[in-house]
Amino acid sequence: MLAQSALLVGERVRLAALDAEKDAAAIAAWSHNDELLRLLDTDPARMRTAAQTRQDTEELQGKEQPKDSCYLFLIRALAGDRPLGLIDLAIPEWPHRDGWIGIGLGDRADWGQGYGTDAMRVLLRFAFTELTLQRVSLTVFGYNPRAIRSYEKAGFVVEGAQRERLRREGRRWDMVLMGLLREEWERVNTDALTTR
Amino acid sequence: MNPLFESPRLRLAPPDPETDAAIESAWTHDGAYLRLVDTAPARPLSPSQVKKKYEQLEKEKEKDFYFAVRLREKPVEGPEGLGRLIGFVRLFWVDWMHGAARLNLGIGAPADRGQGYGSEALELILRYAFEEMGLHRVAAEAAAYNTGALRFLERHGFRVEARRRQAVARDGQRWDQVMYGLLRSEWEALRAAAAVPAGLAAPQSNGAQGG
Repeated sequence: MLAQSALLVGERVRLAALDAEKDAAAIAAWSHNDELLRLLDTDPARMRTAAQTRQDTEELQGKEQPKDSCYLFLIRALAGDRPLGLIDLAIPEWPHRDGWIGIGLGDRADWGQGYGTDAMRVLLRFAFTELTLQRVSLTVFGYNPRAIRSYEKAGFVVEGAQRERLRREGRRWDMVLMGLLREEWERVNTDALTTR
Repeated sequence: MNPLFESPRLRLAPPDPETDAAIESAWTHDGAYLRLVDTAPARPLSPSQVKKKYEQLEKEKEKDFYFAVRLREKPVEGPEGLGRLIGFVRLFWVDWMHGAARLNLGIGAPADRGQGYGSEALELILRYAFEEMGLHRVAAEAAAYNTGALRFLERHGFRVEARRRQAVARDGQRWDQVMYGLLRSEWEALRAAAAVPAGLAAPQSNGAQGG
């Protein structure tokens, strides 16, 4: 028997499908959180309306890219089913079994509450047990030490940094590269692999 | 000013689908080349598939600067004058706001390798990256088994910035992916050092340095 009966459910959150229609308003609201935007990616921070977000999501989901190369989930709180943020896993080249993770919680009030940690735990389990990846990767910005600590707690190791990769607020910052190998994850997650 | 697109033996030019697609298609039938040039699963492309690739590159030209590398056999006068295609060089994932891009470079046919063409093409594209595009840094990467590429990048001043452990799987083995970066300031310093007039250079022990 397979050990995971609730593959995408954690202790405090679950990973759910993204509904372009229903979730657009919540996601658009998050785009007004400039702090989030500047921690999330290298794009210039830009707000989106609900209509634009709906269109973005529809485009993303309708793209011709193979469906097995990108997994995007809405993070929902188990209590109340409230949408909290987004998490995604991209596998650009399957032969290498390396997946790239991005995660963001939309509302500052939800930061530091353990939601992100739990969502990451669920996604890692999905990556290693369901997708059978060999490693997962992520990038995090040098001005985001809180995220680096959180990823280290999840088991990620700093593998290096692209020097001066970012220019923000008048200075240069490194982009830190982190990775987690399957055997490292298995060592601390034996329970996720044993059958009942 | 030095010519932006020409080195002593080479020229950067746009790819010409009519003449280049067949040549590049032939390169993609060399699995060993494909496994050195990137980590995508190696697969041969027909000339018409290569043409489609050129069309795609044209669509993404704001973030993907792709140049055909040609021999300067003839002056530039009409398409026949551009010279034989020997490889490509490319700055992709251009991040304008932060001033960063990634580099990829390949000399397609085995007979054209080992003659310093890669170094000449690299010098052209780095000057283009820093002085034309105004970038702050250029990144490159290679799988750890590609010792030729590692040496090449290090010889040209790229510094190892990260080792992505076991990130490349080939021939039943796992290899690290070595990530490199070259900052504008480092490139400028290397260039200044290379441009010191002979009379001012530190004396060579054998005194045989050319003027």
